[in-house]
Amino acid sequence: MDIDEIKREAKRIMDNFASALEKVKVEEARVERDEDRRKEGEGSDCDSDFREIMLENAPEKDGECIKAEKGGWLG
Amino acid sequence: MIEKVKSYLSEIERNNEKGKKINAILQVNPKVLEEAEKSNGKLAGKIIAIKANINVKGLNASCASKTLENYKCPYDATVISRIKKEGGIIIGMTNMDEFACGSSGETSAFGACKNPKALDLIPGGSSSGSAASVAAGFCDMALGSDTGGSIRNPASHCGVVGVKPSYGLVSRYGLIDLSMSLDQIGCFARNVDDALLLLNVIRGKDDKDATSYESKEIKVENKSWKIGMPKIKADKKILDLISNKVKEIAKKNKWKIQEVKLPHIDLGIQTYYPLCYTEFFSGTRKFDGRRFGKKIEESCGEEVLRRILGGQEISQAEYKGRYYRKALQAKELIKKELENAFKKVDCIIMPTVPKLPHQIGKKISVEDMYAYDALTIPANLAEIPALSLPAGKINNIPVGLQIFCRKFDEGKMFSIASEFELHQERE
Repeated sequence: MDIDEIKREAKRIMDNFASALEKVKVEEARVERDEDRRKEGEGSDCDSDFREIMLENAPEKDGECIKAEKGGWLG
Repeated sequence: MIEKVKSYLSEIERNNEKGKKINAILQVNPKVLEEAEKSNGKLAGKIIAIKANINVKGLNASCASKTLENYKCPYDATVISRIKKEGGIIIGMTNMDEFACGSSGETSAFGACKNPKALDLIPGGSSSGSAASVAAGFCDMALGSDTGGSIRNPASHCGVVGVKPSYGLVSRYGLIDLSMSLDQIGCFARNVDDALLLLNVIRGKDDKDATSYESKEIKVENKSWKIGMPKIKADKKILDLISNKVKEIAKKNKWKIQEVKLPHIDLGIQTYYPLCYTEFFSGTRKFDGRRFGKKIEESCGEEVLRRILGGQEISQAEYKGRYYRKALQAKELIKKELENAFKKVDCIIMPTVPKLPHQIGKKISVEDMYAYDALTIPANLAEIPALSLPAGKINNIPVGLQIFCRKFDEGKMFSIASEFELHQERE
């Protein structure tokens, strides 16, 4: 895959679409709420084996911890 | 019940990877027979396939991507908990366009899904495997997700019923996002009654999804309806088929038909994709390969990468409000136009897809691929319910008819769909 070509194509498509929308003159919708805080509900506990499955999913782990090297994901 | 499950498993064995090679099912639930023994409730005995972007505990929600190829779901999505509570039997996970990015079913990292009704053609997407599973007789019903037409488009091409509920009717908790302000989980079935049954089980407020709403049971009623038909661009054969079908049924039921004006409906695609690219870029930041799966940019296919890179580009340029903000304004315009139309008519009917499906593997431009969803996208932008049901065939290829109704007016939508289905059965 040519990443630069994909990026250029995506930009071209977005620019074409943005041009088609230029004539639109409407304000976007706003959400108005009576309260400034969202009700979170009671909440619930996650399944007892959630941790075990997530550790199974982890690419790298050290005992009970998921190992994520800083340098490995910053770049 | 066990015999029914075994019969579906045999059909999957015969025609999923072998035989017709439909490739609709990515993973069979290894516990399906055990779970079928305990089936009890509103969905007792119903065999259901699940799109691979919805978490089903213990199964693989791969999103048909190498990124999540080995991801084992650690919990059930709310829709899955509700299905299990009512005795629905989950038979497996279905193929799809990778991360729901596609309209043909061809972008799956695990191979394209075939259309059981026309084997050399695309089944449509992105919920390709769910539609194909129902059409191929691998299950009774299926769940999919619809962001711009991903349920209705494949339902149309595969000749089954597909429902996108109003935004907020069904909890999205446990759905892996494509574009969170537009995504809705919905259902596929071989008939309108089964689709209604499944939707009634999965709908309703969920504390885990702040965008979900309380709702009452959806019921079908027999009334005289006023049908709205807009002028739209589509293949002439498809337009004629749908128009004749509507006229025929309206005459039989003494319904009125009225033309509705939707002058900005043609801006649907241009409005949808900037929203989708931006929200998809944001939503995929969690796929960094640290806690689960692989880093998405290093493991995904071309269309997924296009949306990530495009979303990144326009997010960086957004200070001018040219892309996302402008698209939000156009979304509001289309939403208001449809709301005004529903003051005059009970529903709007048009074709589900403006063109017939292409051959699997045929190269088409990105814009032509996006054009498949031109008539389905407006319902997502307006947050309204929409349903596709089989209306007939052209060159032996199924063609779907699409019904739009006002937000949370699913009862009316199912009532109208039931009349169309009744008429089809008598033909």
